Amino acid sequence: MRAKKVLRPYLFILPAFIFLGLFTYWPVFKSVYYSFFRWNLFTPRRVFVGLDLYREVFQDPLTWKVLKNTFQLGLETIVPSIIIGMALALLLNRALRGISLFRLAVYYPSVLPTVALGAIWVFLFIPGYGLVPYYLEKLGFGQVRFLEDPRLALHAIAFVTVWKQAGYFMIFFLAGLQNIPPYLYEAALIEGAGAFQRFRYITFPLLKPISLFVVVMALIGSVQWVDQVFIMTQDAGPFNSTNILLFYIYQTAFQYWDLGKASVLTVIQVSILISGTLLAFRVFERGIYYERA
Amino acid sequence: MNAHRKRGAIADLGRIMLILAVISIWVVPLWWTVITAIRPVSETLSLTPQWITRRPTWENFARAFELAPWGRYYLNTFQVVIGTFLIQMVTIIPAAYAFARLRFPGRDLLFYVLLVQLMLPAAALIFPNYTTIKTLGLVDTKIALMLPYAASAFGTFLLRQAFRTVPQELEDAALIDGCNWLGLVRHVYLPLIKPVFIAFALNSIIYHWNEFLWPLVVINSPGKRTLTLGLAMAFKSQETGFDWPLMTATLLIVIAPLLMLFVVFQRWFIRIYAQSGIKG
Repeated sequence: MRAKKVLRPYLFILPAFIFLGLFTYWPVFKSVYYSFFRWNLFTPRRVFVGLDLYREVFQDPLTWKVLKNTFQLGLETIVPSIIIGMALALLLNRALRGISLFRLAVYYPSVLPTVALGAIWVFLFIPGYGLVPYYLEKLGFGQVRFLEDPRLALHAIAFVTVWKQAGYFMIFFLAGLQNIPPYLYEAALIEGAGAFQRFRYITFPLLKPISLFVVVMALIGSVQWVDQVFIMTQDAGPFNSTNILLFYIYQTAFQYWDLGKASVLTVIQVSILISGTLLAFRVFERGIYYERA
Repeated sequence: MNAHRKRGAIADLGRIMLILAVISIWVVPLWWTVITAIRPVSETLSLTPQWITRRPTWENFARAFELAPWGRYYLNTFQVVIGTFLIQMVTIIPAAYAFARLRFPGRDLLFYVLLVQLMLPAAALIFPNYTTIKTLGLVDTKIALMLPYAASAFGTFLLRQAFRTVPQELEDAALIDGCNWLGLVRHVYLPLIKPVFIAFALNSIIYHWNEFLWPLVVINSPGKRTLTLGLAMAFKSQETGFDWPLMTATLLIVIAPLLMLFVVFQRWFIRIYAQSGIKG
């Protein structure tokens, strides 16, 4: 009876920890372990090779291109999504008639499948015929080939990603704005603060906690944006210009069946995720003003 | 006073104009999809963009329904999404309750161990998870689509926070009345945290409804495809000589019901977004 009582809490958390172990922790260890083995179509039985695969992966220029793309896509999606999300929140934080409809119009893409949205943008980007190139040409930009030009393809994918998630982040900033006590603004007005000063010294600092949350979310999300890459470009082309780490893992494991290398790449991916999250916490937590009771 | 009000009205008007200009970036792609889907094929040959159509038609939808067994894909998606959610409930509710209400050695440490999952999304682990699924002999099954999401740090965290707001006296009273634990959860805890519960449910459903990469890796049989997978395959097989009226109609078959669900439940979406939000 006593033992049962002691064990009870552990039985409650057991189901969660079984799956957590099987599909989160064990896979991480397994990837590290497999990353020391050559294991591919030509070497179907695993052969221990120590750090050889790491050396090969880091000597391959494609790896560096993929890493550069991954960071570039991260930068080009995280920063604009947050700035635009915040701007949308400031714009739509008004008691106007129909305002909820306007908000709806901006964040509907965050509930739709990325593959569907990516397909819509392929349509809008068709060279010459699609809506965007058509009007750009009218405006004198010439023939713009968003997804076929290796210099533009990744930017186009970043744009679609920002377009998809900015409204999602807006909702968090709206919640954050509504938590700022109005008396702060009243006091600032009495002191003669202008609109920019009110934003700089009240709104922005008080949105910092929610910003940390949004940054971490955007960061963890950013490595997962492969649906767009899959649907909007062919084999992450032209010239791997849109190949990002997760897509490269997918290719390596499920198209080339190079399982040792896929493990090395998974280890790199996990390291980026963990260090990125910890870094975001360090950078942002410093400037956060917690309200003291 | 009157002049002041007038100025306010003009400022409001200016703001509304600005808002309309900004949201057109989000509305136009959807409008363009709809207008292309309901346009007769003969009209699509025009080289200048036509923003409206004179003769709306269903013919593209009729063709889109023949393109793939969408009803089947809906059913598959439905099963996966509901199945995932039910498994999540089995792992989340007891764990959230334990972390919220029970005291036991190692509780805080175990809670942190759970939260680390927030940093390690299942997508990043597709390869090792695939090997596990293969070892379990579950490749090309719907259950394989659910298992990596069975434990959810996000859901457990959300429900734990909510459970903590339930007064302990209510639990004590229910236990005195002879309620067992399941009854306690059903009649006391869940009803009191309904908003959080519904919000998590919607979040989970939307996330798994939209998921693509994991089904792409796990599912081989065309008959087991989910909607996103079916859509991507239909899209990719069209690559040359794109029939956009057909494709946009197909897109709408996939997204229209989701959009309607979203409009109906928008209140709940905003609530979960406001409460906390890493997807899971």
